[in-house]
Amino acid sequence: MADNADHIDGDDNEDVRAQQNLIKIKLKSSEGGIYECGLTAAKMSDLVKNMVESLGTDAVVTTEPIILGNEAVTDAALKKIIEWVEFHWDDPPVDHDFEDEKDRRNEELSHWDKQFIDVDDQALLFDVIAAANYMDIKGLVEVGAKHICSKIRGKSCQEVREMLKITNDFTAEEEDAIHKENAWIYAKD
Amino acid sequence: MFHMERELTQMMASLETTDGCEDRQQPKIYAKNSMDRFGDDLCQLLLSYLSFEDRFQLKCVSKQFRRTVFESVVSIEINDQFMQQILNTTITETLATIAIKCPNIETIDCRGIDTEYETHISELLAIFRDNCLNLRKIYCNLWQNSGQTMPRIGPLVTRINSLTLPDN
Repeated sequence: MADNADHIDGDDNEDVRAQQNLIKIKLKSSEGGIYECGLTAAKMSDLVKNMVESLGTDAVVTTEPIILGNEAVTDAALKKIIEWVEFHWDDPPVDHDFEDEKDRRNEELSHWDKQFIDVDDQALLFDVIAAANYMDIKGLVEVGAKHICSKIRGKSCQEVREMLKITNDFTAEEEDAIHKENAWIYAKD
Repeated sequence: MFHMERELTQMMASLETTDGCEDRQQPKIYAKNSMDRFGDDLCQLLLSYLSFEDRFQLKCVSKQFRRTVFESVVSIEINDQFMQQILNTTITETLATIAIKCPNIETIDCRGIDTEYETHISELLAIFRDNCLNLRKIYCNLWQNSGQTMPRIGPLVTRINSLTLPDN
């Protein structure tokens, strides 16, 4: 039900959004940890947004925390995610026009996002990305994606396998055949 | 089926499993710090910020990369630099390889092709027309002899928009 036209009245209004972010709701990780998060920030997650809309804001504020059952939503990952949405909840809305979309995709990450996503612990980084994907926070998945792409850009396949701990499941013959298709890339040298 | 119990336990213990994977019979448990843990949909999304060249370069990382790295290509920009690069290869073959690998291309932007390579545009568009069934938008400059190009894609054109840049 990710319908963009499906906004609540006044949802786009800055003041309303700021006021709503003063309302705190509770999110529960798959490890059982419970963390508070501003309502507007939490609703950057389409999963949370849909839950809040179906349960009603009052119910969410006064009752049990929202349970995020996916294994990737560890305590550490959820804390990172809350840090991200609390920083980004008042970002201007995204335009999906072709040229704008292209510019946005090519745009480098902000300094803050770069620092945020540059996590040494790769298991945590992948938890954050998988959890953001499960919670349907498109902006954060994009940050993760841009980070990974910036790390593997211009690297060899072997370097990428080592960096991202990927198993090479090709036979030597298969790998040779694939390299042949790339002739045009190497032709420039 | 058989081994149901074992499979179920494995499934519950596994994190994200790769779906639609041709050569794995059972869901596997992946290390949390390995990108192998991600399913195809997420993998495709994560790789969608790579340049076209990087995609070709990295499709031999793993079978999952090969399956997913081109899926997210919905637009392609072809300019002089690109044409120069592929002029050293068999152009039609290279273009066809690209078009076949990226069946989801919807938009071709060849406004970056200058008159020097203009002769190839008609051939180029025909190749993408035949292989990319979702092709919906073509951005290109028109020249005096663009008349050669139009008949080849003519029947498919349903709308022509003219974009004029302020300075031209």
